[in-house]
Amino acid sequence: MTTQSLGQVAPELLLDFATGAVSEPVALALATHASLNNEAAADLARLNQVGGALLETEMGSDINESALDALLDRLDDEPALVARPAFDDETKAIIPEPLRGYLPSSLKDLNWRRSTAGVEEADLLVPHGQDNAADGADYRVALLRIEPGREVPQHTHRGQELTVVLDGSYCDAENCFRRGDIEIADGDTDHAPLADAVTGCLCLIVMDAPLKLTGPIGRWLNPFIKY
Amino acid sequence: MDQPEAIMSQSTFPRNGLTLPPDLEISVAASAVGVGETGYSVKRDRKQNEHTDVSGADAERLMKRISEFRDKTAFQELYRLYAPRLKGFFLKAGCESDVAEEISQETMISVWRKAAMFDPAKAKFSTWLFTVARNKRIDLIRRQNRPQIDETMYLATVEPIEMPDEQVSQIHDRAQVEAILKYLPAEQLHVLKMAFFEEKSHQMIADETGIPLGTIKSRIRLALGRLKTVLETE
Repeated sequence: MTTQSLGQVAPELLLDFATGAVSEPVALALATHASLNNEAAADLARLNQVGGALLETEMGSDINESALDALLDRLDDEPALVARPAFDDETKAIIPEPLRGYLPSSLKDLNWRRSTAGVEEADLLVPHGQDNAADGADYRVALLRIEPGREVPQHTHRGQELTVVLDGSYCDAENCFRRGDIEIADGDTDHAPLADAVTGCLCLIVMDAPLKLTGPIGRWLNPFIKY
Repeated sequence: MDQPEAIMSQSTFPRNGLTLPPDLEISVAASAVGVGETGYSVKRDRKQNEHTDVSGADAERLMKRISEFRDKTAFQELYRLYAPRLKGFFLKAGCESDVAEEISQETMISVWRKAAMFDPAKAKFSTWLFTVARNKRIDLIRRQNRPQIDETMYLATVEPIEMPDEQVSQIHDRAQVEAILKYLPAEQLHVLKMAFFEEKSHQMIADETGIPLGTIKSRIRLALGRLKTVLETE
């Protein structure tokens, strides 16, 4: 089965992204998807054009002269140069912009932590929020690596989870997702994503709330749920 | 390969020597942007802003001067043309006056810093500017939600980088936008207007109108399909 593009699966998310009504982590997931999916990129480009045209014809307010002066003074504040890590070929091949800028190192050197058998995660963005925070203010952004033939334990979601496949593929009961595909899962989704038996899978995951384990797996320590 | 590429951070917040993941957006070498004095004096022109129609060619010409020569006079001209539009746009979106002012200022600073990234062959200036302003909006929402972690959180904003392989026709003016929008049935148009003009998220649109989320979703989907029909090149 082929997955559909974002414009068909979640057009409302695409529109929210186009107008800037999403959080940065969600924007990152959507931009990563768009950089790997021509249809999504094209939909976004068209929405950007609508936005640009509306901006162009906006009559707007008067100039605040002192604001302009203050701005002109700031032009010379060139920000400090920030060195970017040199990424290895594997990273450059797999990780598109803008996601690449969120990696502190090449893939192999990231802080991979095993969450369960055959599954590793590397956090990309910052501080986790409060426990069970589902107010949208606290997201978790990470890379998820599943070994060939392994699966993520059966779970549903307390909030929303966006998964963008970067390498390899995975399937759950209803769909398979390959490089560039995006899956949007929430409390209505109860799944156990299974990585391809040969290639395994590398994904970007963005979550706004913890997972809720639903399968018969017993207790195990899992950063997935340690939000 | 071992030499890290030095790039400019686009954040206006002081980093204070913290080790942060690198800024992602500006991936040109610093030397290409031409940091430094241009030799032009900055005229603080106090002329009243005129509400003229802006031609894309003007913006492109000014951007070229900003990008190649760091021309502050050109920047001032561009500012006078677009800052009021940016502010008006955000005011309409329901931002408070000082917030709208801030986003406009921050957007224009980004324009200055990222001028070398604008490619007129790939998009109209207003389209590019819209994406810069949009990303600033995302940035501001993030800062409002998590102000305490400004120092540690990676401050990059997100922009789709690659344009698709298929050509997308350029919209040229408001008349054309309106003509295109006329192709949309009223209920689809209403949703897009609330999204763009009022900067409401789809959830907010549903909440305000009382229309079910599923219906909102399908209207957006249909609108996207219509835009594709109208804007696709032969």
